[in-house]
Amino acid sequence: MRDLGRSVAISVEGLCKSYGDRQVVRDVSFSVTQGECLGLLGHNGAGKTTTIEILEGYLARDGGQVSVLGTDPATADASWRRRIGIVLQDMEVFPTLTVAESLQMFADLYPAPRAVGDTLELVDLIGLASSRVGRLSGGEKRRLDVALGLIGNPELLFLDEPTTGLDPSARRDLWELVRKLTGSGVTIVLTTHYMDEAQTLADRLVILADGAVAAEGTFEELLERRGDATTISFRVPDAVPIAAIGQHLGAVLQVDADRAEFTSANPQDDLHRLFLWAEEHSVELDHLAVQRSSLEDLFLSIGLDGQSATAGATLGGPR
Amino acid sequence: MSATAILISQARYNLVATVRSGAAIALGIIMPVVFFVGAAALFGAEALGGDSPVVVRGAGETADLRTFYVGGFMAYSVLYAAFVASLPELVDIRERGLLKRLRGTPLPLGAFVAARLAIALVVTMIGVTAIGVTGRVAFGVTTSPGALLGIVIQTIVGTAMFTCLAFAIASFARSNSAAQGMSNGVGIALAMISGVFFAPSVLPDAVGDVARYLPLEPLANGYQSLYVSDASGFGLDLGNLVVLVAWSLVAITLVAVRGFRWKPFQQR
Repeated sequence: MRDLGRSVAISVEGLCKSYGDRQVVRDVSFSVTQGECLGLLGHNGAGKTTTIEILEGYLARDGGQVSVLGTDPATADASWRRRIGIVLQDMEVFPTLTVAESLQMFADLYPAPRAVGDTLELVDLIGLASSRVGRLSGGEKRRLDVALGLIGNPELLFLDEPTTGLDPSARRDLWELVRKLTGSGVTIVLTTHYMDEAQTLADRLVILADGAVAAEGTFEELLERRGDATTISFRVPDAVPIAAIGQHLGAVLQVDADRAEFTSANPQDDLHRLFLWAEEHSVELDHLAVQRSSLEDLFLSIGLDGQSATAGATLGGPR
Repeated sequence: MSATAILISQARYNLVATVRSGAAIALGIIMPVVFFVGAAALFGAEALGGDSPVVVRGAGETADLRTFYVGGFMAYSVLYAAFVASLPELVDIRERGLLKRLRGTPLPLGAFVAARLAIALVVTMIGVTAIGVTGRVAFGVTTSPGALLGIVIQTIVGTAMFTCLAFAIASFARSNSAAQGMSNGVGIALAMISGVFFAPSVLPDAVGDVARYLPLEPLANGYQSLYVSDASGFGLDLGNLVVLVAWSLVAITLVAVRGFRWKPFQQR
């Protein structure tokens, strides 16, 4: 394990938060080790932003214990804020300032900031240093937000949807930057709607559903616990009753137009049986595809079950 | 960074942003000078409504309406720079999420407020000076050298008051356009009844009686008094200053009770 000997950067125990009668965060617990990238996932309204804003010190909690870099964010002062960096979902600096001026304005707030030029290079904005912020494209603004989060040289960085609006190559660049940061010991809390991003960057995932933790662990652990990690699909053969195939395989086949698919906990055996059956019946299996579940599949399955507190059981339990 | 260095940095970049956006310069300096020159040139020595000489409350009277306008438009400049232009800017900073973002940095709220006050002071000092110089050069309106310090002190107190009021009222404006409506409505209404465009004597007595306890009239009257009477010392009217300070305290109390809003209203 990579976290051996590392200290705990964030610990959350039984966190609760309500808006009026609506409980938006229910008994949430997790921890983040120093230098780790934690992916905080969930559908819209699952409680991600509320949770992260409590960790950032923006929101007061109703119950539970929270420690961020050894301090309770609810009572944290400027010396704590010097150690964290924040990239909010929606934020725009003065549109009339230049990129370099905006960064310098933020750099001036910290005791040991990164150099403005270096930071601009990190996010590939050095060529736009003297452009007014109001003239930047959406992706360029997003990279500036990330630069503003990094300028104070934080130990802990909150990245809320950092790659929204970025083109694919800029996304890859930012991923590279995140890896570099965690490599140098920076702890990162990442929320994102892009599952490939979470799968690539996050050392560990916490999936929230309806305000509670629906699943937690590394991507591999989550897939293992789910148990049905592989999808096998093929084109429905002509003139063969599809139910017969399902019966033969002992699986529930889902048919969409001319495509049939099923999830398999044991793909080797299932494929073997599928081939035997196809040979026996002289059927050609067109467009055969075997695909391991992605985080997206995992996420969507939680979304389906996640309306109730049984989400965790569904995900973790045997099938 | 020390608190002073942070304050200077904030003031610097807030000022650059304000100057480049242009609203404070247009509303707080250019418009007051244009209105002042227009009013003084059009009506000149003729008192509005044939009511000459113009009586300046507590200070005496002047036969020359231009003298009256100098003080009135100085106050108008302070009102428009520190409140009418500043309130929507403040709401804009909040609604674009910048205030929330700054809240997550080591920036103390006090340093931000002080920086906003400092940039308002830069604009009002220029605006008040521009009116005074224009009055002297174009219309020969003068005051005693001793009154200059009084003008400076009034400008500081008036700017501080309107900045406090902008912070207090910002919490009620849910959007930039709402803030613009509020600040312009308040600005025009105050300017109409406070001896800027019209001498108080052309308005019903009751209006003048109310206006002298509102934020603008005591400021306008204070400047006008410095031009009408031969001011000794700083030539300041204590009663006027008390009203200005009282409004500042009302604003500060409102912020303290209601809490200063740093989160955007338009948040998902």
